[in-house]
Amino acid sequence: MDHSESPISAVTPQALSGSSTGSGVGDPSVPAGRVTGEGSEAASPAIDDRELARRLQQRDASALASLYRAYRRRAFGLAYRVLGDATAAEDAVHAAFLALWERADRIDPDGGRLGALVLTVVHRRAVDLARSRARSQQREAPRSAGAGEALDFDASAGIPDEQAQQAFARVLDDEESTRRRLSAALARLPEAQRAVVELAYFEGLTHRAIAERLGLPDGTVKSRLRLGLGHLRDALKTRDEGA
Amino acid sequence: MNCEAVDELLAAYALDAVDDDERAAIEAHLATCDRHEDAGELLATAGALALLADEREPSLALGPRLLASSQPDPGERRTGRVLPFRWVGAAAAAVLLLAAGFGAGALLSGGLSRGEESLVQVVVTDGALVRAEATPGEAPVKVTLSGLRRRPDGEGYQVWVVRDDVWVSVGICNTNENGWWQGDFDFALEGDDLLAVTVEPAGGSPRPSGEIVLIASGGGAAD
Repeated sequence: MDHSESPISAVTPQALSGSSTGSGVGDPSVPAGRVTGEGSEAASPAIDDRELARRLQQRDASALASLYRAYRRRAFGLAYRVLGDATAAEDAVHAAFLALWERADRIDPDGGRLGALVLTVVHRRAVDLARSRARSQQREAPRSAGAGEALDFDASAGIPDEQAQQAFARVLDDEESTRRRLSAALARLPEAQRAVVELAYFEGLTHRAIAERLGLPDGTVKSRLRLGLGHLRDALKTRDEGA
Repeated sequence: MNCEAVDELLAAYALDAVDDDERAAIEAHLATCDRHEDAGELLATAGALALLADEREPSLALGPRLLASSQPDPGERRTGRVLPFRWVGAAAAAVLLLAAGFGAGALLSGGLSRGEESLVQVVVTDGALVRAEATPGEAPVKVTLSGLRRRPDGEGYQVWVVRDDVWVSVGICNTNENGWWQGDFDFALEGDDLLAVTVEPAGGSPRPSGEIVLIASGGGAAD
């Protein structure tokens, strides 16, 4: 036992004001705890997307934890909707958050919609994984690696460019308003358009796979996707412009 | 791929309904052509469809798995099970510890018969544990670390709570040769705090800067 060991000193002076009360219960050689008090970090301003993006770019691991805590339910819910399997969905969420961490340099702190960015990357990972699994099943030779490991990141890591990130802020209102208007707009779409949009987004099918499933010419599917998504975009923009 | 072909596929691209080759060709084109001004808006619109999926809680292991993967040194990574950690009564905490496969000896000695007013939070991952026990809203808090190898001179384990997504430092310490430490911090815990432990310089850090060795996963049920 090293009784000469000095207790570790308290954290940075400007952050700390508490007193030391370490007791070393149970093992007299154990250094007593030093105290930071609760006034240091608690005085920080509330976390916002811009601050979170900046901290991610500074490789602050606590920012990754905060990002995950803030968006994990939406991310997992989306991945599960696409993949229909909890284990695969967790692999997709894991890969997506890791991509955002590894390529945080691509995040535009002024984009203003970090949640939308997270979900965009999660969706891309989920779709990639869904297709990877489908290819494996077709070959009857499933990959032995964990599903998340089978995903390759491209150079962008699925993170949209700066221009697109800034468009997020222009198009998307607050979450509840956006969700409500989008849900209503989707319900108003002609069935033919709604079906292809949902097959594309929520089942991860390519335009060719949709054409095959529905027995339609590929050009028709691409046209319906264009019209359908265009209607949804207009529905989201209308209120913004009128506001 | 020319502008016409890109326009034809832009909605499918925004919805992730193109194949890898098409995606690469479209992104290469968009990087050099400014005639597709609606690309960003279509991406944003498609991204908003995510809001129509029901929220679901992932397993409690996913957060720690992600944080472990983000660490630069694979040798330092910890993966594995993290128990649910909201504040629970002392008796329930004992169950958590036993369920985690930890012996009831040193870890359970003391503190578990203090009554229902005690709040206990336990974070466990492979072989490592942090435990905090306190009366809610009152200092001190008794903290136990176990299974964490002693840090070399100049480093220590900093204990935090995550409170409304803000990391609040509880204190800093180091384990003994057996990977164990227990002591009191003059800190008032609150019911929704989530424990975390990071490796920091011996003087501590104003905010987490080193490896996150343990972190409670928020939002999970304790049973």
